[in-house]
Amino acid sequence: MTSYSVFIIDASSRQPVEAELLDTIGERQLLDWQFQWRRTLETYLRRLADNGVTRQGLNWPQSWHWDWRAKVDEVRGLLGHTGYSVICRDVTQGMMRLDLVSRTARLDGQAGKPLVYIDYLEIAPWNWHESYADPPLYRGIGQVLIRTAIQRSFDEGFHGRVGLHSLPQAVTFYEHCGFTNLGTNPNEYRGLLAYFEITTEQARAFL
Amino acid sequence: MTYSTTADWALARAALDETSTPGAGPLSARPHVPGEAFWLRGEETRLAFARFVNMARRQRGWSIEKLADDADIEVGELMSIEQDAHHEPELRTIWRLSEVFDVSQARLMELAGLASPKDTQAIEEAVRYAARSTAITALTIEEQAAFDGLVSVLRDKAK
Repeated sequence: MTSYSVFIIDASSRQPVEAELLDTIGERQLLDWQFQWRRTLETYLRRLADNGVTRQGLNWPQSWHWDWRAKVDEVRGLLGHTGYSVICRDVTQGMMRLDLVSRTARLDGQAGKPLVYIDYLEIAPWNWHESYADPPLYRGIGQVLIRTAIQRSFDEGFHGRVGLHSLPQAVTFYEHCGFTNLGTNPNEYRGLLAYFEITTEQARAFL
Repeated sequence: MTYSTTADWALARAALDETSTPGAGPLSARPHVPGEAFWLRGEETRLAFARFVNMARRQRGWSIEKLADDADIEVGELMSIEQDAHHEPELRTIWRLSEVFDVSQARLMELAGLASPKDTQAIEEAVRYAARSTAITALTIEEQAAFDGLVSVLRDKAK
């Protein structure tokens, strides 16, 4: 396991704080998810319910309750998959799982070429910028993870190419990062998640 | 993997995108509330609620104390309602106020941010009225004296 020194932003002071990037999603991260992320999420759900928002009223993909501990276990030991996590003040602030083998690029000009596919990226609920959430504690975690995926792509010889399926609420985030939006496809994720891809040039600009 | 980054890069990148939350893959799903614009305006409607309570009280020529007595509400709760947009009023308070001021309890709850509005247009209208109601008359002699005192204190502090 390797640890890298990175910086994220303390949202209230707007100052950079040192954080740690780990090239794994370990048991420690899964425990943080299970006991800390989910607790904050439950607070937010209760808040929504108290304000008259029902589960039916939420635009929330059916899969929200997937236990991704199982999803991490399912790729454990597979060389084609790898995970990264960002830790600050001893708590996991964000996680990402990469698929290095099974996907190829779709964008004109690079279609069919290998790329790094982000099959999962999430930040801790207390860092969310949502109307029902408390003000975020840290920002810039997603940017660190995207930078990691791009760097990994260069290291793998994929020239910075990265692809992912974005949550509806995260679309502007990836656009700001320089990704190209290829839209949704009814056959993928029930047409809910748009596919994004970044080219070598766009990736260089991001770094 | 080679990886090196700086605090400056993190600052510059974060400044480009202050309001969105990343998330990729169905595992990262989080609730999305349709019409969440209302939520963003919770404070605004609560200000309108505060404004309503303030005006309804003054229209009757009542002090906060008198209203508190009549409606059987704590004085502190009423002061917070009129002066603090972050204050979340008690349900019972809303019920008492709707009785005393003879308005719809449901509407008042919506305005106070305790319930999702069924009729967003009505709430928007209430907010507009409240904005228009902000006093534009000149200060009374008493207010002017108090204001002068406030300004003199603030100027002293600034030195």
